[in-house]
This record gives sequence, structure tokens and C-alpha cells, in this order.
Amino acid sequence: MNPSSCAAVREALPWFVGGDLDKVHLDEVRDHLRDCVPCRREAAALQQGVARLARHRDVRPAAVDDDFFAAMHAGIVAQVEVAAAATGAPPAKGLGRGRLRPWLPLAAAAALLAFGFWLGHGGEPDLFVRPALHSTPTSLREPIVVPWSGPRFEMVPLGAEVEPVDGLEGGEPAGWMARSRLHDLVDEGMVLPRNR
Amino acid sequence: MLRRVQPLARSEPSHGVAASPAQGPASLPPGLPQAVLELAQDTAVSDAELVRRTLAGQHDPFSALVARYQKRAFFIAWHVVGRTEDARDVAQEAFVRLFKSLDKYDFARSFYTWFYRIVMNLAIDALRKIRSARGSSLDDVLGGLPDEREVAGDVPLQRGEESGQVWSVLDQLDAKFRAVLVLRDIHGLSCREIAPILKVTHATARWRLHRGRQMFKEHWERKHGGSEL
Ligand SMILES: [Zn+2]
Repeated sequence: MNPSSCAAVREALPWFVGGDLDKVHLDEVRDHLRDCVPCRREAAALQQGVARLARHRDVRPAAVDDDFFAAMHAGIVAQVEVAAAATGAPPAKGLGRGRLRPWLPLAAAAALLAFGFWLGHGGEPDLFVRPALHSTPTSLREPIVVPWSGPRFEMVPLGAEVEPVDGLEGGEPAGWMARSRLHDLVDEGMVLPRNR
Repeated sequence: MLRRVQPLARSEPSHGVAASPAQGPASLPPGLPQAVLELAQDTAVSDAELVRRTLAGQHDPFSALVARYQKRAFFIAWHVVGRTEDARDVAQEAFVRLFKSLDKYDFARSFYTWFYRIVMNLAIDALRKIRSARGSSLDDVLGGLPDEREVAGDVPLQRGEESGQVWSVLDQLDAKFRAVLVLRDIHGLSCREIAPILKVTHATARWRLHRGRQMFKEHWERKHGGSEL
């Protein structure tokens, strides 16, 4: 085995195990791994790390459930309504409040405005002066040209089914397919399976 | 002989909206007003359109944006900071900052990378504050992983143990490497999507991913032993 070849493969392995290598280099790395046991061991160790991180996405913290997120949604909307009211911005009336009591943000906004008014009479700098955030931007007064309006995939609502998609730039396996590449190597006898 | 491999400008598998418990189906919170729920679920209404409607003072669109993104924001923050309370605070603050800066949104760019950038900046700041507050000794670091003990009980024991080990290794990594591993290997974004979120070049995002995976493996072997292969 040519040592420089091993070095080049080792450099490529962190991308290889995550499916982040192009087809040409992918084939070269696979060919090398077919014959080189030390590089196969290194690839397997790296791949286990990627797999552990992928499994980590399924872990959830305790007590984080629908109620947690419902309360979080209400809390965010309340904070934003207060922020909007403090600037006198129109969207304050337009935010969905979830389970929030409707008078609460208005009361908080009134208290903030009263405090700001009191500060103003005291001759102190107005801590609440901010630029008007929600006047219609200039860019919205004219037809908007959107050469590229967002992600390459349409972001779908969280409740919708998501179809698996292929890599945009074509040619490469995506997602779990790429990550399971080493499984293919196991199947081909190139990587020894882990003994349990 | 194999050529020296350079970071590649293409070949990213991209599954930025991959379904998972963190961001997948049935993820809208309960108790939403009907109008907000319908808006959040309406695939014909893009995120950019929700921004436009919010800026125009219409009803409910920002609330719908929150409904669409709050779980993703929370879980990205959670995987960076490792604590439920801190992750919730990060997500909430991210939405407030988003709202305050909506009029700066560039409609030619994707909404979610812009928003994730806000989330990630806050999460990295929070992580650095947490680390700074608890000191840098190894005992302090390992003692400061509350979510290692908070992990939900329905996770099988072996998975729960692995989860704790993953947290402890992630916690050894510098924030910039942890961030790219969270976005790529946990949340499934491509390096092309990650680069604008971290405000780095594509090549830098790929290099951080490279080093991050290497360091994750090295710390794992140091803490939990080498591969049995
Ligand atoms: Zn080799």
C-alpha cells in the first residue's frame, strides 16, 4: 500500500463517512478501502461517530412535550406583542395569541408605555425609542423580483409528510443512503461488522 | 494513485427539511387559534409570504411562523447548549429578534437559513456563557450536563447511555465545531446550507465538518474506548 495514498484517503474519510464526497473521490476511496485494512478501521471508527450523532437526533429531553411547545408558543407571541407595542408597530393586533389571555399583552404594553412616558418627563433619555420597524419597506411598494426565493426545497408545514429528496447538485446519494454507505461495505465484506 | 482530496464545491446531500422527532410530522403545538393553524399548515403560503404579511400588518402570520419553526429552533438550540431551559430561552429570544429585524429580511434569500443564523448565534453565545460560568475543569464540564439526566424515559436504556456519552463528547468540542456537527450530522443540513447560517464560506463549513468529525472520533475513543472493529 502506498503510504501517500493512505494519507490522501485518511484526509477524505471524514467526508466519505458522511456522504459528503463526490462520485470520483468516492470510488477512489472505496477502491482503496477494499485493499487497506488500517484505513478501513479508521473509516469504520469515523462512521460510528456520524451514526451516533444521527441517532442523537431522536433523543428528546424529558418534559418537552406538546404542552411545553404550546406554552412556548404563547410565551413567544406575548413577548413579541410587547415588543411590537413598545414600538407602536401595527402587527401588535395581528398576532395569534394561542392560549394567552388577550388582555395580558395589552396591559404589559400599557405599562411599558406609561414607564416610557414617565422617563420622558424626567428628562432622561427615552430607553424605548427604536426605529419604526413595521412601516412598509420601500421594497414592498414595488413589485418584488425574487430571483431565488428561499430554500431549494419548499419548506413544508411541520405536520406534513416529507418526501425524501435527492441531493440538489445531482449524482450523490443523500441522507441515510449516504450515511449507510459503510453498511454496503460491510455487506461487501470490506468492513468487518461490529461484534456485539 | 489517489489524488489529494480537496473540499468539494458540490456533492452535498441535502435534506434540510428531513423529518425527525425534532422537526418532523405532527409538530405544530396544540391550542393554536384556527386561523394560525391553517396558515401554518398551508404549504401554498411560503415563509417569505408570512414575512410579507407580517410587515403589512396582517393578522396571524408571525404566529404561524412561530408555529412552523419553534420546534426546530428549540432542538437546534438544545443540541448546542445541552440544557432545556437555556434552549427554550434561546428559541424565544430568537423569535423576538426575528420580529424586530423582519424589515431587514432579504426576500432573495431563504428564510430558514436567515432565521437559523439568529438561533445559532444565540445558542453559541449561550454555550460560551455556560462554559464560562461553570469553569473549564474537566470535572466541572462533566458535572454540568443536566440533560444527560433529563433524557426522556422512553429512550431505551442503551440509547440513553449512548446519548449521555454523545453529550459528554459534544461538550468537549469547541463551539464552532459543535455547531457544524449539530447542523450537519444531527439536523441533516448540507454544508451549502450551513455556510450562510454560520456566516462562513462553503469551504470553511466543509473544513469544520471534517475537523469536527475527526475530533468527535478522537474524543470518543479517549473517553469511551476505541472501535471494536
Ligand atoms: Zn490505506
